[in-house]
Amino acid sequence: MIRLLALLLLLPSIATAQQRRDETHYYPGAFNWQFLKHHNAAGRLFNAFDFGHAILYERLFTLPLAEAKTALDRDYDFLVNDLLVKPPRFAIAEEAIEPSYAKLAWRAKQTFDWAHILHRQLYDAYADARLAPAARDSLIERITDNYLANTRYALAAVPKGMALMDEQPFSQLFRREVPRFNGLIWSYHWLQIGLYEAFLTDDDRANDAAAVDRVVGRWREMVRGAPTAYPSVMPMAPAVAPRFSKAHPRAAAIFDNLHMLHDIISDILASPTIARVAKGAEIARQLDMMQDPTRDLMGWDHWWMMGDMMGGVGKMGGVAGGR
Amino acid sequence: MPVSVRSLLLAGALVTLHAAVAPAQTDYRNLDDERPVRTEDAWPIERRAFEWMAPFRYARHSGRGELEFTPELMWGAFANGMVGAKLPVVTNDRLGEAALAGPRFFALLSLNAETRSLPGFALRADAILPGGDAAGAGTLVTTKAIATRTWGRLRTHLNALVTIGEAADAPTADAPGRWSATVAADWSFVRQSTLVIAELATERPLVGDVQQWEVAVGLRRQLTPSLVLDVGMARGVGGGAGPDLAFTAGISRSFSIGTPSPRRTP
Repeated sequence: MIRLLALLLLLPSIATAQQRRDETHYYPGAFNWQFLKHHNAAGRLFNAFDFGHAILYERLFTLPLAEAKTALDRDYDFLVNDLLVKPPRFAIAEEAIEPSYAKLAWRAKQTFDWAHILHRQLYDAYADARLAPAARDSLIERITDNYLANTRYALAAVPKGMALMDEQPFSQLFRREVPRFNGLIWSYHWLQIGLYEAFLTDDDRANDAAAVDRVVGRWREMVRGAPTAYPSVMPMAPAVAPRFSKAHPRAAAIFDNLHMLHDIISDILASPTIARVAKGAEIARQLDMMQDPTRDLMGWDHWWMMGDMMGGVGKMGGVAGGR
Repeated sequence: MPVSVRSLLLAGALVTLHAAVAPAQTDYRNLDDERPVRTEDAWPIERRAFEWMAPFRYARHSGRGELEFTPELMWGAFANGMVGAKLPVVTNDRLGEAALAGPRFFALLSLNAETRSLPGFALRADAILPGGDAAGAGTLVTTKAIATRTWGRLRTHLNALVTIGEAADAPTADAPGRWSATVAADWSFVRQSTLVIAELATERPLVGDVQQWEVAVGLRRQLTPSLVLDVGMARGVGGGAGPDLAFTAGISRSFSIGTPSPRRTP
């Protein structure tokens, strides 16, 4: 019995030496799941997007780049011809799709999950017609506070410098080597931030459904016109969703940082110059940088000019929204 | 304490109906013990989440039927862990009066996330208290070690349980074994948000020394973002004391209450 008690007393210290799952329930409230309820077709698309991100990382981590490219060609066809046409009803279990990547980089996986929950809850806040604009905006800020309070997994709420994504030794490899799949991922990111704009073009909530359909329709045109119709530079919130970015700059910066991190990790996983055994540590190092709100920053003014500086918002897929 | 079967069924229906209207989270892959097989996975519910379950189980032993309703509430009270309580109520297949089989309280702690070299591990402890006509006279404590390994859509699980306490303190229904072990494998149909599971279990009863073997299969399916349906079937094998046949069905709903107190970041 004494040995058992000693073991029990030691357990917390044994456990703290390990990466934990650290799953946290989302911010509670009646607004949750309103987007899926009122805009089901658009809501379901994000379940398919999660699958796309997950299979991408699993392929890049488990296969040499040449084989990964072949596998990703097949996965791309499955995604655009099947899964994105008939997306899953509920969120997919990413661990089942990317088991090796999840074991390698659980913290990164949780970071993405936590930010995806933020994405989803903001859609829910916008889709809840019971909320007046002021109450909705206040709720969005509270949801963002709640996101940031989870410091282990929250990305910085200030714009991080583009050099983190574009100027590291491994940078831009994935987009060069697998451009079609990269274009699909960037189109996901365009839609993910662009949908917010659909709710902000005017104050008549009766127009929301049509506005959401229009933005989703524009995204589907991108996929049909692939690869030339895909964004050729990473879509950024202030350019694609200016009204949303003005109303909620912290959330918009978080999403830009999230999308940069997606690209950074794709490059690390694809890079033959980073040994397989070193990829987990490199991802952790990048997470530290992306979560730090005090370094490697781009000024807010600079962030607002990104559309022009990157060659025009058209290269990012264009401004979303509009009636 | 006798309970009318009508009240029992009404309680189950109310829980189910209430559960059907509230929002929460997808968790068809989060295996709970007995939902729908004995095996559970090494993951607790999320921190701050609650999960409310309303399962029924019907089993026949040597021609006698027994119906059990075990409402259960779990709470992700701390990071990577949860606490919970359940209250089994049992009756026979003639639906006479039902009896409580003693309240149970438990805690589960997940020790780690899976890595490339380590499965996920968790420890669980339950206290089975006296209280009710089908309860034991004293308290039993069970401790359980849980391991889960993910291979993709396939996962494998190992559970091992030991009971500390006297056989005389065992409830007459839903009693734990002196020790038991289960091995299970599940497969997720990710697009359909559905999981199927198969299990082999063995148990040395607290009373008697006939080793019990049981095979079970089950299914969990996400019905709404917050609601999971589970169904299962078990059968004793090898001539031991396992059930001739047992069926179970339940519904679980996850939710969160209150508003967290987030720290506002400048």
